[in-house]
Amino acid sequence: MEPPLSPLIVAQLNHLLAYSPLSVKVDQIWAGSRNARVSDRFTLSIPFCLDYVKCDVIYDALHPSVAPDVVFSSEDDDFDPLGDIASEGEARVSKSSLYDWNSKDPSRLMALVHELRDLYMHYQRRRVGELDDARLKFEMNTMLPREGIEVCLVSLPDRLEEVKFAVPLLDMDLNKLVPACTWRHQQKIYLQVIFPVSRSYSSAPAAPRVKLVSTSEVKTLFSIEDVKLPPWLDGMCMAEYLPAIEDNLKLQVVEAIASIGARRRFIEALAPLFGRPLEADPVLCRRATVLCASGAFTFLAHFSIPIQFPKQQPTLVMQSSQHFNSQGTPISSPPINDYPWSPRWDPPQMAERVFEFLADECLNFKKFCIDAIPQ
Amino acid sequence: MAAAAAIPDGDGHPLFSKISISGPALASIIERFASSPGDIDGLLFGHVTRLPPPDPRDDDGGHGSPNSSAGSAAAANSPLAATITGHLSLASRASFYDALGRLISPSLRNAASSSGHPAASLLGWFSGRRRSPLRPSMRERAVSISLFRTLDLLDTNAPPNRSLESLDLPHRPSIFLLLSSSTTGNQAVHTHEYRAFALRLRAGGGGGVLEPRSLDIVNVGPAFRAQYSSFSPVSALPWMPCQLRGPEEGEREMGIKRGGGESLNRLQELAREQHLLDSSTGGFGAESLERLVGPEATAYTSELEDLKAEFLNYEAEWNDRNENFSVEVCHVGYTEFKTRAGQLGGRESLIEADWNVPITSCCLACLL
Repeated sequence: MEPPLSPLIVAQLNHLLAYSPLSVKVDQIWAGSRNARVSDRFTLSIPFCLDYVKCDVIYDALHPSVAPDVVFSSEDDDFDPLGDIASEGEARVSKSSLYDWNSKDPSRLMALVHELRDLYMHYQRRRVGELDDARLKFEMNTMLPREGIEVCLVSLPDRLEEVKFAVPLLDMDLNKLVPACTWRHQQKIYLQVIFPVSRSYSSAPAAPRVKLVSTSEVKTLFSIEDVKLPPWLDGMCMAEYLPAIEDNLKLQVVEAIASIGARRRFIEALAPLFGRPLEADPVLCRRATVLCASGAFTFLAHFSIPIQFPKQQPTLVMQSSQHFNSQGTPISSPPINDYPWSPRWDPPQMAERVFEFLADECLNFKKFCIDAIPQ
Repeated sequence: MAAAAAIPDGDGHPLFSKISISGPALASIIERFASSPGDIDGLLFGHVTRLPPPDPRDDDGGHGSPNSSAGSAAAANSPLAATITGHLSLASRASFYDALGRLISPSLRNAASSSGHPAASLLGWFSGRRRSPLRPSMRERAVSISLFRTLDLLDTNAPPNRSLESLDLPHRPSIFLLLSSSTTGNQAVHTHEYRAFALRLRAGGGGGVLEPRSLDIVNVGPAFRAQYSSFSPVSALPWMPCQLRGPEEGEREMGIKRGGGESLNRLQELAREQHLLDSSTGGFGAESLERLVGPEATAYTSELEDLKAEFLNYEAEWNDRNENFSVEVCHVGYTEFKTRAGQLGGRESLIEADWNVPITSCCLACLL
């Protein structure tokens, strides 16, 4: 069991985790001094190029006012951030977050992490730029002006190398498009393009591997796996490939956001028939629960509304308020997906048809509950 | 990276192709690190020698005269070897560099001059940080580069016309020794690790790389065994007839010999042998030998135990009092210990062989 972090250090780390636009992760915290009562070093995973850069941040618990030192992983052996700063001259040095370090300022660690990530990004660009590969040189020249693009060189076993591009797609702010969203980090969809570095000049360069990657919250808005990527034709370059996929993706995002509105209207239409929902997901409107009664039998109806609503109908689960199994949990019906449905109905009609279906189905469910009750 | 020839770096400066450290120096750095509460750093001192040039090949210098300029160029290119013999552990961490790894020259110069080592013998620096990876950190790399580029520090004490053939070859501090240690939760296992690095500047002045190098430890390891096998078992002690007999019997015989008209020659011979024996034993008389066995032995043992404890105290005291604790200090203490043990009837070899004196730097130094 490691002791807690020293107070000056924990203030800086908390500030980083709370305020950084990057979703930085802390993997491990431990103490470096002998018989330590406080910890003073930790491992950070900093997101970069759809992956994480790991580094050990080493403070000194005995001298907490001294700026931390950073040890990068062995793959980043060549990365020399302080050398890069020094080579840019005195003006750059005096702007560094390590210059005139103030351990009482909680924002310092965040500034350092951002500065190091920036230097790392340039370091990776330089490495890729130094490769002797005509196609990659061309891609770098055409793509680098694009805002937010990241690139890195990945070494594989057998001395093979790949270059990975992370291209942010869609010039729109997803966080703003979703009304009242509570996402903390900026949500983005990226196209990951991995080029093999070609060693021989004779053979035609192999097509890169392309894949859509999104930040975690986007997955609740729409499923990125369902987006079909166009094939990469021979001799194609990224600048040609991107517009087609971006147009396609934009349509789907617009549709997904429109689907939120449809779902909201559906939930609102439930209210006149079932009464106000007990629970509903107010942002993405993926979930709603209503209370129903048929005579003396009361039960809950849970609606799971799919991303492809209204093309796909909501999944229904009934849960009794009066019947419990031997473990004491309420008895639920299996998910129901096959009740009458048409995407062309307007929301009040959808709600009405569901209401009618439930009025019939609840009798079966009541019987199901009574049968399920242990005697 | 073979030790075949000196590899010039970006500035055309030869790198060390072999780095060695004396056992006592390494032991005392590790001891210093193990006894400090937190991370430490400091400077490394030593000397640089030129290794013999690699064997010339037949096809080399086949044309023209072999001992002309080509020969001297080969000598100048022969590999350099660095030997670390001492260190200076600094009282406060990060005292001679800042957060960006830039040197604070006055503090470095002060530290170097207070060490008692000539500034020209500065070979590099070391850093010890507990429970951290054995890879140079970003600041350690920057400090190594800054140290390498700081020439004025070296030039202050250097005589103006030093020849290449002198013992201390001109060099720049380019060695970095990284130490790490960890313990298991119950303190049962302590692990000490170290790795040596040599700085290699990139061509075009764009920074440098710390390359891991093997570190030869002098007097430890199989490479040194040759010296032991060349040992010849010839002793200055005369041959002593070894017969088992009781003390009274021996006394009686002596008396008979003395009184009973033994020939003068025999007596002279005995006296001469006794004299030789006395000069070799250095005060360690037969009576002391007797005290090693029998009932007296325990008392004698505790007497020596006390002496040992006293020495350890003495060492600890020096440790506390002097931040710049070094081999010399320890050596003085150990020598005093030995002398006093000798006065009591001890003998160096006896102490080394029979007494479990902890292997600290001083012991290794004195054994050398």
